[in-house]
Amino acid sequence: MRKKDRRLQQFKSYLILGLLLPLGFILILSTVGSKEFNAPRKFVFEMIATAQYGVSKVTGYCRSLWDGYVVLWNVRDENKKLRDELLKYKALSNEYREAAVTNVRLNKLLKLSESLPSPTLTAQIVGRDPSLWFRTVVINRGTSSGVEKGMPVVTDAGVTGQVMNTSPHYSKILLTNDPNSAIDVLVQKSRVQGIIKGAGREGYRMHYVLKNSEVHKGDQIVTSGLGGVFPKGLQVGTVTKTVKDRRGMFQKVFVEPSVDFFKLEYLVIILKKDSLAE
Amino acid sequence: MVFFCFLMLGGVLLTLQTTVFHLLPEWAGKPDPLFILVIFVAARMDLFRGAGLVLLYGLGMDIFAGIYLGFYPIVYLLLFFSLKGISRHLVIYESVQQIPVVAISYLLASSAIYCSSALLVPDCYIDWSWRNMLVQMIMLAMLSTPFFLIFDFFLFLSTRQWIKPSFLHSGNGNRFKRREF
Repeated sequence: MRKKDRRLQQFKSYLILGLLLPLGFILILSTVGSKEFNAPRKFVFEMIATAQYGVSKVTGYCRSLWDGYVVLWNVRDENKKLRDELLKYKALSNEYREAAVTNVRLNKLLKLSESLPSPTLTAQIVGRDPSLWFRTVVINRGTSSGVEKGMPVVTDAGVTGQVMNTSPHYSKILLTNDPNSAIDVLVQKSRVQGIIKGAGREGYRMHYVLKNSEVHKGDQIVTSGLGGVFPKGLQVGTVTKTVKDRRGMFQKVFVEPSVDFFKLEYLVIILKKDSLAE
Repeated sequence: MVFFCFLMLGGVLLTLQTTVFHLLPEWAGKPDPLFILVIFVAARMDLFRGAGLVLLYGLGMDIFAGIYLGFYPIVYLLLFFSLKGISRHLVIYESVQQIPVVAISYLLASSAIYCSSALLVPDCYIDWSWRNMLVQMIMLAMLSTPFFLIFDFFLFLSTRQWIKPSFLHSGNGNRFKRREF
């Protein structure tokens, strides 16, 4: 009797496994390759991004604490009194310096916002891509602030990315150095057109530039305005190297991004209503 | 209880590796403790709970990594079932075997994600760098033992059943005896 019960229990387990696993696989396979977040994904995105926002606030505070105080622990032995005073003034000066740097940065962003045609929105980066291959960031602005999929994202240094996914309070940005990113650009001096694609750590590569086109090291690359996503004339990068192979019609153009992607903190989203990105 | 504890732990690790770990210097790579947790779950948990957790970790990773959905759940599940399949012949509970298992699994999982991305999006140029891959593998290998100890502690908190770390084992008995929760 007990043996029979055990077999029945075993049969039930296999039945559940046999039903749940294929169902799970079908559900996952049906989403492979899509870019849209469904409701559960949006919910998880919102939850984790809120945690990221909290953690980034805490780490920001800890970093400022570290910069302001902990680094100065080494001078404790020199003179306690002097150290206390030094600490006080250092902290004060650090505060002023940080305020000045923030002021300069925000001023630049303000000037940029004023120079851009559409209304803009400033957002803070709260999370970064955990993978080795891809380059995306999470910002603390979402659909409740008017952010929509496809909107261009810039900084005072130039083009930075594009909104890929949104939730009510957060958005995911595809950075321009991600391998999936492509922007229509032109060489500022010679007006040669091409497509800039992200190449991860290598920066950018400019594609579809004919071998007889005039492109040289040091040339500035700007957005062409074609494609309808980015406004015309935004800074993209500088040509670092051109290679003309024997075979093929096109030359290889390597471009150094104008934006330092490792130091990004704040981004400006251009609130374009008629974004063409898909 | 164990399921929800480890689900929360996965969420915390994902949050940490998308925020705090990015403050580390570039030479340190991008530590991926969630991946170690996937291996841990494959080593310690039963088929149902383990597969469910790994699927949810994959879905979570999917939201924050890249723009195409579906890669991570499939790769994590395949890795989970492969490890479950070969776990009869491996003693993943022991740190000597944890280190190569984590490093090799990471290489295989990364290759699978790289290949599937390259196949699905032909225009997408992803730079495969052996240097970065080695840095990541070494980093994960170094982190695997301490993280296994931390995860064991969490397992103890949620089940009140303690698995002694390998260096505390006397060496007697059946090393291949399965200890699942």
